[in-house]
Amino acid sequence: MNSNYRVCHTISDVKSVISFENNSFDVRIESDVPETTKTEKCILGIDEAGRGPVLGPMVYGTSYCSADNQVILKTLGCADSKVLSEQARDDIFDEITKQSEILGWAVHIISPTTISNCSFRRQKCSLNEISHNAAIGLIQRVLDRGVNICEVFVDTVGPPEKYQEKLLSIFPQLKITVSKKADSLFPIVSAASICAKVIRDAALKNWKFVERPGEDVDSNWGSGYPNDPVTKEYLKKNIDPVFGFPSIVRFSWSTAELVLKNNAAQVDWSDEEEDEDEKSVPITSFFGQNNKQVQQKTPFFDDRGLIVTTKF
Amino acid sequence: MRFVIKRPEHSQTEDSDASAVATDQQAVHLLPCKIHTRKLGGGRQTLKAPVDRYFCPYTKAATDDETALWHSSLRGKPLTGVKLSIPDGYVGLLCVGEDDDNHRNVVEDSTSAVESITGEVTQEVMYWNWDRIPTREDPLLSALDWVRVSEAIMTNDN
Repeated sequence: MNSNYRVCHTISDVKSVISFENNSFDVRIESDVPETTKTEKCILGIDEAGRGPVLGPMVYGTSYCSADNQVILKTLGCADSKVLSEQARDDIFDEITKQSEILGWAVHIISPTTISNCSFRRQKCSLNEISHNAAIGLIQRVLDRGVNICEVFVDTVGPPEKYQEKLLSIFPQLKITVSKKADSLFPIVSAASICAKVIRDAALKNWKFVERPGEDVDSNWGSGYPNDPVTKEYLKKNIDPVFGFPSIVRFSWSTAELVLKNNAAQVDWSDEEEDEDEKSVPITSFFGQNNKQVQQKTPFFDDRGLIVTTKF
Repeated sequence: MRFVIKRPEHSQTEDSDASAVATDQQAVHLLPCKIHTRKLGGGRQTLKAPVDRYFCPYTKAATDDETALWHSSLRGKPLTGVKLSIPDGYVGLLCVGEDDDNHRNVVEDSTSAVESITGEVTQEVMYWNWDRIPTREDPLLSALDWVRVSEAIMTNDN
């Protein structure tokens, strides 16, 4: 809903933005633009965090700096966020925010509701497409803020060649490298990966359940990955029979769908276009006579699904 | 298309944060889906629907704009809705339907499906479509044409 970016200078800024915003919607957060990145030639990295879990947002992160300053990334210990401990990631993110004269960053927090809604559109939008759009949005945002980007490194989602082609068609002026394991190959992608991962963890920890106002919330959801028994148990325990899960859950994950099927009321959607006419029940049919459609006086009524009735 | 008419539960606990999103807690929601309240083995369940906590419609327009499009999410499905005011001189009645799974696909049977009319009156209805903007082509919205047409006929002295 809100495509505005919020500027944050520290991790506690980030946490307060996250807990202030409605987490059914996407949230976008960024650093100030370092002056050096407006004039000097810059590199930019992109990575994501939280693609697989059935719970919580997926976060896209970018970080950028002038090519001449990239040695700072190694000094800070930027490596693949998955091989670093949580504490190490938090510490490095802290350092990144302190290097505001040199390093810039931005994240797009894609809410679980957005993910479910995209997947359950009539014309399905795949997770890869969501990812690509998020990456494109971040690059565009940084360009719009006047950063002199020359080279972009992206951790791939799907086949790298196609993805690279897609990005090049949108940003023909940039040199773009899309590759597998970019987070361990390019320190600028590692930095992006750390931003994304730290902020995803913060978003999960600070999740505000609108469904459970004023209650102590069960946050024992384990790893959040669908094959984790603790996560599965969490899903089973936190079901409303009508509405299903609280909005922290990605309804479109097959694990979530299965748990709903067995533990909540069945919901039928009028989804097949062809069937719609056949099955269509005009609201007025609730007031019909002897289950028979009454001969109408004019097509006006037929067209509008109206019948004349005197009997309830 | 199927309708489920639900009366929102009134909030038990006041949550100040909930007001961050513009919603209308008093609205009756017409949903583009059917929620089965009957258990598989038979026997009726009474399900309470905590609408105010789980169903949070929002709009990008002014909330008093009658043409405003509303958005919400149900079971992960994106919904688009409009607010319908019951025309002057008419009342909206809430009917409790019989949920008969054996006959649910037979249109004719739904005419005898009204179990009771609750007597509850509503002035406003939120009409929801699944990922499609409601238009005058929608059955309910077009049915309301009759209101204006009938008024025109009735007020015509000829």
